[in-house]
Amino acid sequence: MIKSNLMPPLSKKTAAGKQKGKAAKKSGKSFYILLILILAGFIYYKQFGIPKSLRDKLPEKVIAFLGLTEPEPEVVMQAPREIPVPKLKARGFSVIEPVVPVNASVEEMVITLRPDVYFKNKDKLILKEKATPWPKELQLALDSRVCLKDAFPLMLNTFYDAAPDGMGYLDLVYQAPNYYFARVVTIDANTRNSFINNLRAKGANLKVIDTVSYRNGNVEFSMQGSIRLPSQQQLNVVPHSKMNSEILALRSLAVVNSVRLEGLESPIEEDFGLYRIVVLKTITEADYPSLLNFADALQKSNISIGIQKFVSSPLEADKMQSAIEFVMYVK
Amino acid sequence: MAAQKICLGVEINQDGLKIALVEPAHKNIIKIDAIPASGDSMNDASIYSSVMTSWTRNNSLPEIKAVAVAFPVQSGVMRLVDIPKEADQPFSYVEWEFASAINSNTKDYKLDAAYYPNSKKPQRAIVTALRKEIVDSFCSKAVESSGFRPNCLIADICALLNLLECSDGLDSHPQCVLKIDQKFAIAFWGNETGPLAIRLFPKEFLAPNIIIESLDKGFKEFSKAKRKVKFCGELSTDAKYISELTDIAMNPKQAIEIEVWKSLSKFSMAKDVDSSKLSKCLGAIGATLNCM
Repeated sequence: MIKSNLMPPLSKKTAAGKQKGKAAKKSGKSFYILLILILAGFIYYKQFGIPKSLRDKLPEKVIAFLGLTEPEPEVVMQAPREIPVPKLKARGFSVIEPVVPVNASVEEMVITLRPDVYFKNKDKLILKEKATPWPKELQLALDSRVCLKDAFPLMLNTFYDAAPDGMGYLDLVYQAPNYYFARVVTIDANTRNSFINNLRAKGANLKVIDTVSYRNGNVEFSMQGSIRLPSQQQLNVVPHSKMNSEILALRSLAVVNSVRLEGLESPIEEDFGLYRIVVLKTITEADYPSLLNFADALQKSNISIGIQKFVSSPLEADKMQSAIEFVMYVK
Repeated sequence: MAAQKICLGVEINQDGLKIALVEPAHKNIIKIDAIPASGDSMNDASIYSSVMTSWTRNNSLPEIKAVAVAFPVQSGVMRLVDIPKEADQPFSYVEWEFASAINSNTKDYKLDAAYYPNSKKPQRAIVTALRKEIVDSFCSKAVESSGFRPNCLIADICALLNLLECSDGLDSHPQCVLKIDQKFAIAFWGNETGPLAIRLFPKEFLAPNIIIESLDKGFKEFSKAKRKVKFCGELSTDAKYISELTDIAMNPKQAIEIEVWKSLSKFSMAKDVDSSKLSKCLGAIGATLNCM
């Protein structure tokens, strides 16, 4: 039996509905009166405790059962003093209590980011080999926006492996082909140096933009640079008829890797005559390990979709939000 | 004696309205009628309400608990969607699939989906959609004040398949239903898992040879199905058309048994029901089953 109905539910203007409405109003009133009485009783109890007359009459067992026993006064020896220790988890963005407030939302970061300033010096764009050229028309359309399939997972892995204990990312940004920006907070200066050395050892080119030290020893700094790409895995050009099936495959792959992407439904197409560049702007709240798995799986799959931009920030304690721009070259 | 719950089923098509008064819980047909209407009742709900009002004036009716309307599938969109195992929210997947399948704005459509084998772990969905302005026109004050605001709006294919399930029963073997009206025809194959394939025939393709050729192609996709077709709709009472259709269907190369759907085995009918109109009004009867 196919249970299908396109009609919205009926409005409750029927006679029966009116009667029900009256009854509901009455019960609603009595509910509010009851609520006010309970509230008043609670406030009285908090201020004055149980009235003496009532306390004498009620058996002790009943008072204990109702949880109305008054706590015996304790002798306070010394007020415990909390030492502010920054609770930072490296590996996974989860800054439980960020010492530095997060200034920008993911959406704002996407708008205000300026990798073009960094890329003015083209030498820093480290591409060992020249990429196999795409058809001329597509190459012209792409200009400097070339998206390589293996660059994003490599960048995520580099930043995951380089992070020592006692640091967290406040912002982490990737832009194709191999640009990154990161705002980092570390527990002390040694951790900062260790992180920077680790990154350099992995072949990342980096430039520290600014550093702020705090009284408790924490260090916040931002940096940008480019990662080394040992190989260059190009995206295949997708026939227009297979566009939807590619998006469907991407969605399935994301679901399998516990990454829920919002926004896959509305691809943005740029038409360049023979070719189209299709961009899918998505948002996800997946954690770092899930994103890593997803990025690795995407690279290994035969899905011809790459990631051209990634911006991630902590959303709240133990959560992060990322904006991911997927790109597909369509003929 | 307990009060009967009587539902009014209305099937709308370009030729007019088909009406059925049914007691769905007891599978009892009280009245059926076919009323020609000038104008498109689907795109102008005021025609629907005025035809229904004038029909009730000429017929004394019992108290009606609910109104169900079957709309012609060609007035909306119907899609059979396979849902991947990974999709954790089937409706959002269905919405996304629908958006990628149509060439206009999804916000303009009212969408509904029925899931198989169940809504918890669905494998496929029967998705029906109708333009919001059409749905809204059936919710208008004018229609509501006429007393014929539908409680249920269902595609005619779903209504007919529900009726087939309630009367003949459905199993794993696909069954075929052919509905031919004056200006449009539909054929569909369905089994216990819902509709499996749909063919739509515009006015220019209603010639018997074209219909039989299409049915033959359709049956080739369902090798296990009996080559038997239940025929209903406006032309199922046209003797000349039936004879032409059956003659071509008897061709040994593409032999198909055409059976006019003029009886419902598990339904009872009131004495004064005009059974000659039954095969025209099946969509209206099927629509009432959703009121159960």
